[in-house]
Amino acid sequence: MQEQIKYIKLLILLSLTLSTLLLLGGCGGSSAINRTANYSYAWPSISYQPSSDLTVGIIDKRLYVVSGRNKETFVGLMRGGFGNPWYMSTESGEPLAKDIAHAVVSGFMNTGTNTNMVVLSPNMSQEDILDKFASVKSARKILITLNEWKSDTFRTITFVYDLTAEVYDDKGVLMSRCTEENISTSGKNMPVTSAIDAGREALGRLLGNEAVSKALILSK
Amino acid sequence: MFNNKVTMAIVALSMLALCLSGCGNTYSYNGKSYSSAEDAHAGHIEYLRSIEAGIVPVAGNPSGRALLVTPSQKTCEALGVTRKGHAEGEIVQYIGKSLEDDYSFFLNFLNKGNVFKTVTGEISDFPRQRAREASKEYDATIYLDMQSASQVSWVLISPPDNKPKQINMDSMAAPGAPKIQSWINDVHNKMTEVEQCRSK
Repeated sequence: MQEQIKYIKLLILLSLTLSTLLLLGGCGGSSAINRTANYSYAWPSISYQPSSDLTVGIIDKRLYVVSGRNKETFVGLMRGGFGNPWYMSTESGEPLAKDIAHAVVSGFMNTGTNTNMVVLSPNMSQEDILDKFASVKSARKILITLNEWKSDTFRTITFVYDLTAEVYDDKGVLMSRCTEENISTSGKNMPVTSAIDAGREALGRLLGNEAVSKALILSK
Repeated sequence: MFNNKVTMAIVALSMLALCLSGCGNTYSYNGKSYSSAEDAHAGHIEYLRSIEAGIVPVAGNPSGRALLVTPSQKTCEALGVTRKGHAEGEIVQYIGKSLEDDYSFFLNFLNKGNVFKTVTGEISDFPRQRAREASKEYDATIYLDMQSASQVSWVLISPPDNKPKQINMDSMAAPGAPKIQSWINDVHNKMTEVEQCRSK
């Protein structure tokens, strides 16, 4: 009888352990749960065609990245059954800014505009950035600053962003500047269906801003 | 005691099986399920071939050389996939490849429809840009303009005006060969208009 109780206890313990592992880890350590995101897919929809070739650069100025607390590949959090957080990173293993730069370049190329890309790193000064832009010949340069870009996935997905776009001419003179952000003052953001699509829409809104489009085209 | 050991083993194995079965992907196409992406693609191509078999050549003489530019898998993955949650890379790639196959198969449809003397097919990351670059070298250039999963249109450009003309499918036509035939007929009608314009 005592032996039977011992085995029942063991059975309960085993079930609990497995259930806990399942809850915490989804499908387990090797994980079929995708804890990466590919923002190079977030090609923004651009409804105008720039009148000249472009160069695009994205700089990651997220405070936790600039301070070195998080890697440049950090894209957000995914939470387990108890809200326990896992870091999500880029699918490519490349910095988020580079993935987003690929998306923006592709968005402009899809309008039929020749677009180049420069790779920027978080600690670059404004002078370094303009030097980098000057190394590529194009009539217009677009610098997008990621002040915030992060998803948080628990029962739903929330996505927060704070982006600044600056358009420079071929001599490095600032032509226009605008900001798009969705950071709620209450700290509660509306859930989104997909962080990639939400990122695409955010970039589309930023680049669709009249300040940007006017600096990129002569006439709509 | 034996029963308890067996019960424990069954519970452990069931939970493991549950974990593993929940993690595997299955692929479906046209109402059929496949255990691998390769098998699903093979089923997909078979279906496209059955559509091709149902295409009837258009009446009249074919009109010159044409280029067909369709989006690459990369473009289809970025713009053609409707996402929910954090989509797995493998699934996105499967859908992207299926879309690339769907669109590039229009080369076979055009050839079977006999609208042009020759049709060259190209797959490009940016079909609009590629079509514009190449349009001077062909009597007609057809490309798929993809802006999002719900904003997809076929466009024809041809000299002398090179103005983009949208190619339509009959929304009332039955899916499969009748729908594709309506698309071929529209290409043919638009080319007839272009030739009338050229001869004026």
